[in-house]
Amino acid sequence: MELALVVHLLVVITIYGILAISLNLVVGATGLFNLGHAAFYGIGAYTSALLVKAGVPWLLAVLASMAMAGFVAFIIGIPTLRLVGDYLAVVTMGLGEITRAVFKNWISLTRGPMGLPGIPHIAFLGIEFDTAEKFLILSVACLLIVFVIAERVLYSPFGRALKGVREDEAAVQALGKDTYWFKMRVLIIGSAMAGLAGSLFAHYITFIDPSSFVMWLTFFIFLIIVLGGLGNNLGAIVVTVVFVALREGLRFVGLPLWLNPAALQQLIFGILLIIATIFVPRGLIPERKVVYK
Amino acid sequence: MEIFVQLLVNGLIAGGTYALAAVGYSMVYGALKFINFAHGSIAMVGAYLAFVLTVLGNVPLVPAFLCSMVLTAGVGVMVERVAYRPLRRAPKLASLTTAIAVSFVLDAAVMIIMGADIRTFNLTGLGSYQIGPVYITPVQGAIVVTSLVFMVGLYWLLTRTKLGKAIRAVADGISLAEVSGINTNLIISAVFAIGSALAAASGALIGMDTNLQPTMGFIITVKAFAAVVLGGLGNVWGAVVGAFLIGVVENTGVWFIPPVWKDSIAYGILILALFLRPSGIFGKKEEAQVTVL
Amino acid sequence: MKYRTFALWIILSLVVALAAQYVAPAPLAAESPGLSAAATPTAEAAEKPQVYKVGFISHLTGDAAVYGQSMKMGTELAVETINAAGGINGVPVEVIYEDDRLSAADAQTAFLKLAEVDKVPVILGSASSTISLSLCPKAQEKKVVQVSQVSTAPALKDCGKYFFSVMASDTAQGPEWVKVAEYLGVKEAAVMYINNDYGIGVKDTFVQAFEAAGGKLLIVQPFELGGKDFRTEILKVKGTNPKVVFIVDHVAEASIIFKQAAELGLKTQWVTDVSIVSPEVPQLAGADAVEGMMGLRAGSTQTPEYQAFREAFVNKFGKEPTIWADFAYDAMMLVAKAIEKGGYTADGIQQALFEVAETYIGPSGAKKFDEYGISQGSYEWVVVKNGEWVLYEKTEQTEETEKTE
Repeated sequence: MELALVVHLLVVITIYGILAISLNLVVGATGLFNLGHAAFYGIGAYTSALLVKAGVPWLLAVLASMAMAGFVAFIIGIPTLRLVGDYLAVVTMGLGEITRAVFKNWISLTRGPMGLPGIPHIAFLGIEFDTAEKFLILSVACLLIVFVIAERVLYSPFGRALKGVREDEAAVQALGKDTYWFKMRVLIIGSAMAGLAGSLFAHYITFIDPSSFVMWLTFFIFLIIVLGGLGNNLGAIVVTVVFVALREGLRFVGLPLWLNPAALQQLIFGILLIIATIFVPRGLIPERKVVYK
Repeated sequence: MEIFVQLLVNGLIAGGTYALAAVGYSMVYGALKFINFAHGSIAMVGAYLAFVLTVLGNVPLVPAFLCSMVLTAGVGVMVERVAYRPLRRAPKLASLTTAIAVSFVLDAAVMIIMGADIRTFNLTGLGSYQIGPVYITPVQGAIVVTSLVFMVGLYWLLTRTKLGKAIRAVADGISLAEVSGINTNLIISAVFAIGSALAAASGALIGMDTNLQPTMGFIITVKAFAAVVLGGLGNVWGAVVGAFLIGVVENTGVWFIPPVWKDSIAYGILILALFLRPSGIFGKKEEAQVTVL
Repeated sequence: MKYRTFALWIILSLVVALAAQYVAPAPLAAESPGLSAAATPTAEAAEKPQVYKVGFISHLTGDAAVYGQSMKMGTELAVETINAAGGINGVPVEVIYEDDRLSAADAQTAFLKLAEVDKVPVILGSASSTISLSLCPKAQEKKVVQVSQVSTAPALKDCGKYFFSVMASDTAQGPEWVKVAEYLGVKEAAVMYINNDYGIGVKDTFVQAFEAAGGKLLIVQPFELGGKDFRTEILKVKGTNPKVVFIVDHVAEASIIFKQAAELGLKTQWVTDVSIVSPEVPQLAGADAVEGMMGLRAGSTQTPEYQAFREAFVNKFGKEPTIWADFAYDAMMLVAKAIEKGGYTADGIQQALFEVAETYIGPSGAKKFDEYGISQGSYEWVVVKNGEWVLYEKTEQTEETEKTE
């Protein structure tokens, strides 16, 4: 039994799971078409890595990285949140790429494309999380906390207002609610969660470079939340597990060498995705429409 | 000053290739109201088909080019039939998911068949002409002519033919078009055929001007998406203007700002433009739909 | 509802099937009792396995696939050569190829799969310096020898004892360029570099050495990885009228730059880094555009080793050796020799690699490692004549290759 590989994949799943839940709040619950999510993940990773390298304890660093991701989300939210739909998508995509350009070109701070090696393991409460097994405990705990917070947000009056924004923003405004601030708050919460995921990633791999925060990552998380069922956190986690297991599991299928196995894995994965989406277009656990009697 | 004439010309030529991809994108958006993220991959398939016909099949360039457009139109129709039509009544994000999956499949399939090698049309011996201060190559000339011809042709098709009328009717409202006795499935297939053929033209021209790689589609997708949104979603001519704007801004902007920020400049202009006009340059307010649902 | 349940069952059964794959040993592993080799301390004590497995991690899909796939071909050729000669002490070699998708997290997955499931004591890769850097802490922790074919970042020397690279560090190319500049007698030059770890590394060492030698830089022009339109960048360089332009780049972007530069009327003496010296470049950019271009070649194309490699490569794949295929070939050959000498364990291979590299000369040149496990390459000056890279004939000096460091 190859425990180390399973543990590693579980860690990857928890990190992607946090990302999926955080994007689910923004996209699934509120309907903000955010394609720049990977940027907040990256901001969290760099903030935490640089602070811990400078000697700051991890607990402070992770709070700082969440605050930083939330703050950038706030700045980005000011001009963009009045955009809707696909216009918001392209702007957030652009801002995500600009953020990555900053990681890449602010060489004196981030070492740019050379990447940031030697990021220390997380030490916290007197325990050093230096093995994947110990790390898994920490990342599962983080995932649970994020899950609980996200569920509480979703089923609070605030969460219902968010779904109202998604369904019909004008109607919520007509009720006298300031939808702009609803959207802003959920963007900040979601981004801060992504910052947490980034911090975990940085200290787990112990090396980061700008290529880890590309737009493709946002697309992957998108696929996960669509297949999980928009606005459903449990579905998102289940699909994250299936997703990672399938994508990496294809490595174990003995494909003939002359057929270019790596590309064939990508092909099969793509076909499975199409089939899955056609079968469950509303996601694994579709949202139940609340019917008032 | 002379240098700016050259920069402007280069920008317009780059814009021409983006425009060909963007109009197809815009037409698909108009008909189905979702972002076809596989559009760039379809352009890549077109480029490879033209390459196979000319370089490996020894077909003369112009017939091969037209042939690849026809074949790619078939690919586009097939993709719509397999991956998008079953999801027509599903949430738009489900179609977005399959679009991303389709681009995985197409990229991987081309890589398996053609290998990962960089390919070229071997049009390098043609040299370039100097007109005043401006250098221009025959391929660049062909890009200008081809995009102009296709734009005029498309204008004629959309405004003067029965098919064009039907396409515009479907774009205005699919159910309304249906009750008016239009075979909407047929029209949507036609939209995909035209859009994919134009994407093939764009891909093949980019391939002739530079080179071919199985992953070249992604950047076309991104640029065309930006052009479509900048011009105003669903407005075909807005997409053309957006494409030329992006081409010119990229080429002249790099003169002043280090090219490591090249993409950031393009996105920055895009964000600024959408800040000033939240529905794009030519978009109508009510066109700004929410793709998420 | 019915469809959904159906889909759920399909997905569930797939997951179960895959989980079964994880739990049960892979079919190939079952055939080879040699798995126990990893558990036993010395190779002599272990029974001879039926096959020696070696891991390979590189970018096999995505934007950089052209380099990963090319190195895969070089490795395949090496495996074929080794097995045709009876393998290592009669045991054939098998390479398991894994894709890192140019992502640190996926590279880690690939590594753990190779280390834990296939139980390989040695992996080849990755190509990208950043991916190699992201892998090396794990390789040290799991005690797996990591032999990168072409990673050249200076930071790699701090990786630890299980890390090797068969290509010389970035820092060696800059001073070699200064020698070219001195030879050409230029005091003013332009530099173009690709904005990634490799480009910045080479550019920095050159700028430093060139300015220290009294040279003046007219422009230091970066450009983006993955671009297709470099015309404005080229026009900026052209504006400074440089006699010589030093350029560090990769094949995909470089072939476009040379073509567009020729179209825009930039007439200059190009001098390139090692990664552009590949038969693809004149072919892709057009022979006219690159005629007379000088470059550094890691190792030498004139050696009998390279000629033999080239012939074998053409025989197997029907085309000229692609970029880095020779380095991948040498990495595999060195590993095979190290297994033969030190046994099929990480520590055995780690120690033997230093010894076998002392005398090894392959198609990409001599591979002697320094104390950090980084090869000390030599460079050959080459020039494009009639669309082919040929040895540059120096008129004053007669030495053909210059050893660096």
